[in-house]
Amino acid sequence: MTEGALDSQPQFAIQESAEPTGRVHVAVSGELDLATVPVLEQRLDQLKAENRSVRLDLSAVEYMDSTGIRLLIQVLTGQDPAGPTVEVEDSFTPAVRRVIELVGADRLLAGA
Amino acid sequence: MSGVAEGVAPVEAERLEETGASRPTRDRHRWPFGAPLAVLVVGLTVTGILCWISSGLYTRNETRLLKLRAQDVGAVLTAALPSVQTPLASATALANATGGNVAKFEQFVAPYLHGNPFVSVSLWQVNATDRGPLAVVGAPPVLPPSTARARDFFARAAASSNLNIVGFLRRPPLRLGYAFTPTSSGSFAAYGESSLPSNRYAPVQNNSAFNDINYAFYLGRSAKPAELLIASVHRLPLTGRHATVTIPFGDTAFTVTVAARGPLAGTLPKRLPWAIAIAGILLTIAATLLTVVLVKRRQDAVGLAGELEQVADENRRLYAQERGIAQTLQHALLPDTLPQLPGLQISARYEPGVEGVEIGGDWYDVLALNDRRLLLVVGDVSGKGLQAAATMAALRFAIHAYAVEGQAPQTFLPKLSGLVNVSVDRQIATVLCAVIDIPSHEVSVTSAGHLPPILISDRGGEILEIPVGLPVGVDRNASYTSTTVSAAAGATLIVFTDGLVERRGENIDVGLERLRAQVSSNHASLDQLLTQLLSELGEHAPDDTAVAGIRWLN
Repeated sequence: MTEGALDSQPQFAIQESAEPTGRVHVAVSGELDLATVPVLEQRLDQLKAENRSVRLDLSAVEYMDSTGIRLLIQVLTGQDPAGPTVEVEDSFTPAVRRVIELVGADRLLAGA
Repeated sequence: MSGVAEGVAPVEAERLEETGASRPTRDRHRWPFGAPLAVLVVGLTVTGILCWISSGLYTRNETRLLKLRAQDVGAVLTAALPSVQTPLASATALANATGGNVAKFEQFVAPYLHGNPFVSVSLWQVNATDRGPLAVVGAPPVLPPSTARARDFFARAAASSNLNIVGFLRRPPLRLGYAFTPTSSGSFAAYGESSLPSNRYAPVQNNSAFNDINYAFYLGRSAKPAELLIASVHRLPLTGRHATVTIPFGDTAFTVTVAARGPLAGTLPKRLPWAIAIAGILLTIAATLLTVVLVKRRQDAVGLAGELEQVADENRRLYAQERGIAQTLQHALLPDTLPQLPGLQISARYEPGVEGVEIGGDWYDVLALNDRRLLLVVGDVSGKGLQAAATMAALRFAIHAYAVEGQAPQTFLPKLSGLVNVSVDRQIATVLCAVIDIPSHEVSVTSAGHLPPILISDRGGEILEIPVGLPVGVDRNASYTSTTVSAAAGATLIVFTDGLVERRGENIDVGLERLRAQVSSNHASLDQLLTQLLSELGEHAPDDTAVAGIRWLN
């Protein structure tokens, strides 16, 4: 479990568990913004380099800024067909869901 | 927040030296002098003082012990007095009682011969010393009979109640002569002589209690060489530390000088000053070296702290420089002057975020397409810093180019994804384009992932509901649709970035509603309105914000 330290914001945390199929379940909580996105991004890059499939669960993310949206879009659209898959659970808090809609990225989720 | 600009790496100490930055004022490699020297001086001084004190104590102790030894010798001599005095007193009394009976005299004094303590005992008539002794037992006395010396001696002896002593020390045989008359009324006196070694030498026996000293005995009250009786050494005077006591003996005295043959108190106190000196010097050297190490370490730490501070200063300078560059870039890119078009009021603002050192990627643009049409653009590149500003510049100028050519936003927006790619650049940009036809009051809005504009009329503010296309940088084949609305006379259209409406912990719809409420029934001028909207944000805007608006004059 990796944690990022933010001043007074909800604590950013990444919790990982291995599924029976070998896929890694990555659950993120707290805020996904300029400070914390690099941490998650690094971890996803690492898992990709290890050829691990990922199921990304952002249901506990309470706030997402443009950097978070960027990462989400990147994950949803940047899949290498030859590489391990990253599946994003379509489960978000209402506030985050609204942001995704306003940015036009919800259609990317529907296709995923 | 990393706070590190994506384009510039922080400076490390090595690079600092490469660039020739000035060294810390205190040279790290100079050996420290002050404190170690002080420790050395103090250590040696203390050692020296302790040595001096212990040496002095040793000397005083030795002197004291020597004096005591001398007194011991004196006590021994004093104790010998009766062994000389008593036989002579008894023999004299016997002679006086027997009228000078020779046989009785000889019989009485016999045990005291052969050095016990006498070698010669003789009987004399006090008034007739010229005739010589009446009886002699043992060796003949060396006292010359018919001399004034003998006469005076016996006269003195008869008159005093002390043991009288006379010395024969000029030539061998060396003798001391004694006479003791208990009363002055007798006519006879017993006279004894003890002998001294002719070389006046008698070494101390090894098993004697006095084997730690050398001695010299003198007759009289001073150590005159002519009066030397006996000594334990051949060469006089005694060398080294010596003590002298004068022991009254009969009518004269013995002067005793003693000298120590070795340390009287044992060798340890003698060696102690040396031990102190060696230990003290070793400790001082150790302490000095330790001080050198500690001072040098502290110097190094101070030097390192200074270097680190220099590195920190350099980094601050670079950050400031980079922020300056980004700000300059942004300032250069954002339009200073807005186009003037008849029938329209135009205003715009850009407000950098209050948090962090880095510039955001928000921008606005107002392009006059011709004398009746205007393109209003607002955009937001993800991330911060120089990279965001650079991407923003690229997008802005591309939009310029396409718009000037006459391309519609839905045509050129997909092409912008040729400049930015989320997978490669790890950036996206949201863009809103509003084409305004001034005479017809028509507004054609196209959104690539961006928040819709707000249209203000007499009825109040209305967030336009428009379809939202994908942000720029996702899909080069993305399609965008434009929505056309008719604006009322005197209407206001405001485009903005999410900094204006977004707050953490709040659904963005709340912010949009707040904006709508703020602009409704607001009769300020367009400029004033924009200023108000931005000032309402206050401390809630960590993010940067761009806002642009147009108002029909009629």
